[in-house]
Amino acid sequence: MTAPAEPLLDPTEVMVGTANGPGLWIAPEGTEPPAVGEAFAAPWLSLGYTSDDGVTVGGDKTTESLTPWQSTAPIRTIITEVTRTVAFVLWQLNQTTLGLYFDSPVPAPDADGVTEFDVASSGGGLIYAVAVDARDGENCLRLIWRRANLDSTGDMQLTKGAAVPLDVTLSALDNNGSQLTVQQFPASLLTDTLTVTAEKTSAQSVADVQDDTEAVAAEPVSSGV
Amino acid sequence: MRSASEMISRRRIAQSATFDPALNFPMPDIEAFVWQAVSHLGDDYGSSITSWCYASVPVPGPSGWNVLSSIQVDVRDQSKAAAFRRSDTARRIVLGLISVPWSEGVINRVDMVAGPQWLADYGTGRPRYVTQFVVQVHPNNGKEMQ
Repeated sequence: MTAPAEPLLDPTEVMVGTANGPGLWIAPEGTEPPAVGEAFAAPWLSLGYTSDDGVTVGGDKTTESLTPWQSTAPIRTIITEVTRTVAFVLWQLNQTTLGLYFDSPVPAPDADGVTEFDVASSGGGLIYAVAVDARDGENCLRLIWRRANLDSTGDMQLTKGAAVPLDVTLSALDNNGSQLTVQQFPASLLTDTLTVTAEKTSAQSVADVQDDTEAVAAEPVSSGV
Repeated sequence: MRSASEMISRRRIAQSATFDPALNFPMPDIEAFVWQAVSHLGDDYGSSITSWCYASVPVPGPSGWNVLSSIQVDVRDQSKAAAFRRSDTARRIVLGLISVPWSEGVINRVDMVAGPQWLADYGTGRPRYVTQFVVQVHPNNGKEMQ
């Protein structure tokens, strides 16, 4: 009797698409990704909070079928174009995210914190390197586009009661025969584990938070509500 | 009274029932983990804390692997201000659990879905704040855990 084909059912290989820390990174065109497991460092920049929908990686293929006179089924399919995209909705507004959304170079804020730029009526097509960094327990997945540019944008709605969305879709460009790099590896190879925390509490651990409770407990009990 | 053969038969049914590996993992006890993290907030100075899982539903994936649990945390204290502050400490602890290593499972997300809500105890008027969270968990997926 022959052994069953591998792989068998294995739920530990099921991955929930949670961000590994910031999870979404951008850098100048052609920037090399960190080695497997190593942390993202400059010139990579975090794109900050994204919407709850996370990141969507898409793909499209254009083909041309060769159907001979003697058959109704094609005998060969020629791939004429392969498009791979990455889409997400950014929630943080800053020099990096606005520049990406408007496909414009954006100067650094001045001393007063003012960012001002014109969106050119022509031009654009800025090229970036983009990386998605996901982790689910012991499973890590990184997708890196070394060359990608803005493909399309969604509506930027300024409404009451909602974060202003920067809906961005980037399309992969060829990079010496490669569109993107996929890295899958165990979490044991991570050299630095980042957690998503607000900037002001980034150095604060759960233990620190627990210490706060001692201050609360030490306060004199007030008599009224 | 069950016969010996009937007992053996039932045991065989139970032993042969697991055909999906996703079902053959111990379910992480997120309710106990949250309690482990916040219970110390209510052990002195007249304060008390209660946390429990009031609903749990599966999410898409292998059956039973991913679960979305709704957790409620009630914090009581001797004043409204003290209850609020202690409740906020509990909020930070629960939201921070996503980064705490846990041998039983993996927490994929923690969202606060309601609260902090002022809900003084009926009858006594004892100050209480209520906060509700949803926590998505699945069993530990480390190969060494199997």
